[in-house]
Amino acid sequence: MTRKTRNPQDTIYVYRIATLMALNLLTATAGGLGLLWMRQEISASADRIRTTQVALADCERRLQYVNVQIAEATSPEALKSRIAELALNLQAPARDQTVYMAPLPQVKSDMDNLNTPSEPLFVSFELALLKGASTGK
Amino acid sequence: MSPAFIARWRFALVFMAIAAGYCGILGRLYYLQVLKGREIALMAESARERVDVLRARRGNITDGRGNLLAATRPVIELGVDPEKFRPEDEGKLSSLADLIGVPLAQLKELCKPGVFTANELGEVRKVRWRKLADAISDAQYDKVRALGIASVYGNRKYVREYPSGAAAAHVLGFVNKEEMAVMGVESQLDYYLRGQDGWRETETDARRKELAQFEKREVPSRDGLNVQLTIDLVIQDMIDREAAMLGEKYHPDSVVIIVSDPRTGDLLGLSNWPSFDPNQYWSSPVENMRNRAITDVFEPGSTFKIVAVTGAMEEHIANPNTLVDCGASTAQYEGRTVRLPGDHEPLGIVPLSTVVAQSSNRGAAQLGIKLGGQRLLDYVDKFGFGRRSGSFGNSEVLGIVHPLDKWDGLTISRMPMGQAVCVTALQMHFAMSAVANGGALMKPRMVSRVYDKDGNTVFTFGARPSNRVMSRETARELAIMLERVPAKGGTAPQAGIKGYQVAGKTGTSQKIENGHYSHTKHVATFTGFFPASDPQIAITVVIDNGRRPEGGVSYGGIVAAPAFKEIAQQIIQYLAMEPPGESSDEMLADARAAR
Repeated sequence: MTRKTRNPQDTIYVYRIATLMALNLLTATAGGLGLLWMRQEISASADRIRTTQVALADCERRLQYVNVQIAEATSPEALKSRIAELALNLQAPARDQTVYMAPLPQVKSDMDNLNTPSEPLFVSFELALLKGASTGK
Repeated sequence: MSPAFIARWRFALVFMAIAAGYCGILGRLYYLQVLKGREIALMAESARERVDVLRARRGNITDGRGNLLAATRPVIELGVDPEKFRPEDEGKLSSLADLIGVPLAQLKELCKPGVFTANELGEVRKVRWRKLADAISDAQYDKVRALGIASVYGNRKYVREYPSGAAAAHVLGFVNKEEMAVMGVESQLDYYLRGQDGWRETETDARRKELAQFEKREVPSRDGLNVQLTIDLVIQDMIDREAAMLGEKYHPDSVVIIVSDPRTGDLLGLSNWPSFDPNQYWSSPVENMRNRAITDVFEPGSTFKIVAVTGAMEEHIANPNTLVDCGASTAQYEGRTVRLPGDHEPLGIVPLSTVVAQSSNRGAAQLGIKLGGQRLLDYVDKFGFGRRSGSFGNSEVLGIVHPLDKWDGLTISRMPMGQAVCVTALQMHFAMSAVANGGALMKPRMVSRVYDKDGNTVFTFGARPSNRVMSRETARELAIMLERVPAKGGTAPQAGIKGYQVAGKTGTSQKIENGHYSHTKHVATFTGFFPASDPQIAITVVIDNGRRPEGGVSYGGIVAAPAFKEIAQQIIQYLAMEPPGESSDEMLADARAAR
């Protein structure tokens, strides 16, 4: 029996096919795994987003709850009952306790000279006490 | 090597068994995929799909300074599934009872399984949900969950709360348990406040856990818009307290107090007594929920005299110095003699300003007669009587103003003094405000704007003038005359505040009982404004059927005027209203003298 020798061209062809199949398999496997990974990531991201949304909604709800509690605590009735509880004896000022002062001429003239009505007027008070406190004297 | 011998019949048997198996599988597949395929696919889809409703939160209502008057609080309705309650959880019930404030015995009863209920169709089912607490906070719920009782769980819901209780209850209205806005701003602006629910279509796994990545569609909910009122919570509290005090002191049928800014028509406060707490609306009688300022009518009495006086001045029939004969008991009108109403004290011939200050019925009747029926009616209409202001929807009544052809022989002499006509407290208040506002009648404004959750204004409700009632000059002259009412010699010296140029008018009308004017039941009114030279605040106090502890008629000048003064003084302090025309030196001297 004579041994047949394979044509080198055929061998190359077979190798090529084998390589291509291997590459194809590799690509398919990698692609499949990549797709799986991507889907997992999408799922995880969606879960994270939903968790954040729920947490945000929860914060908003709690904020709303606290706002109502603050409003209840600062309602006139609540404040009056607190005044009574703490025996603070606070009262609204009577008319004779209020004195309306005319603005100083300089301040009045500054106000008159303001061209833009929306421009705020800055008034500074220099308090000797504060100065003393800052210098430590 | 020859193949193993297999008997033909055995081969056929095995082949047929395998073929039959395949046929069975194919048949089953055909049944599931073709015959039942659609149904099963739908079943699987419905088991996997979930539609969540995203509840919109109702908007807040605030006062003019941003204080919350109505808000939606998220709470949790706590319940138990008795069928899932485990005996080993029974030891945790005492802690649960302490947390939610339910007696332990009651809690144990609620957790007992084996309770059945029947629906309308007669189907009997086990009870799978029993309410344990109506509304607990998130923090409380966290503590409940920490107990680890699997069968106890909560459903989130929103409840409407009114943090300031009964303050401005009649303006706000309320939302009932069916989440229906019943009255007031809640009902009127329900369109803006209620928001729009959304929905989310998503898929769940076998454990009903949401698969967020398979979310198909989401229509987000749109929370309701917020509404800012013109009401000032502090002023509202002042008048609520004053109304309650009047209620306690005079035991009237009702008290209405209105405070507004006459320049814009902004309502700063509106109080009714008796009142109700919108947080517990079910615990008050229905009549307490009536906003009497717009639903109840009464004969205004002398406060209505401003109509005839205005008409006479506008038509150049009289001016403040014109002499009016208040001694005459009859007058001629359209060729017949009309009997004039009497005064408490005979005044004789006095100037118009005294007619106003002394509240002469005869003087007012004479002005009405000189004005004539049609012109008098025209001014009644100009002042806004007999028609809705348009700010309160259909809940506001028209009042009663009879057309000219329905008048009897005495109407021409009675209407100018506030009889034969019925008005609401709001109409009377805004009529007086027109005098304060230089003769322009404003529409009441209680909503200043609608805004979103970021504070952006969506809709502004501006000040709306209704019509001009009188010229500026007439308004000014009338205001000066009205300044004499709360002064010494006027009918309401108790309403005067030194330095603040209070102008106003008293009214005391007899109530009609069995078709006759009662001598014991009266409606006392004081309506006025200040400072007369630059009016900033208008106040009206109406006391229906007040009973003075010391006895006697509850005149407007006696019971309503002091309440006006009390409120005005508090508002002056609160708004830091500087007295007009008084220098700081004079004020300082006054203050020193007072001490």
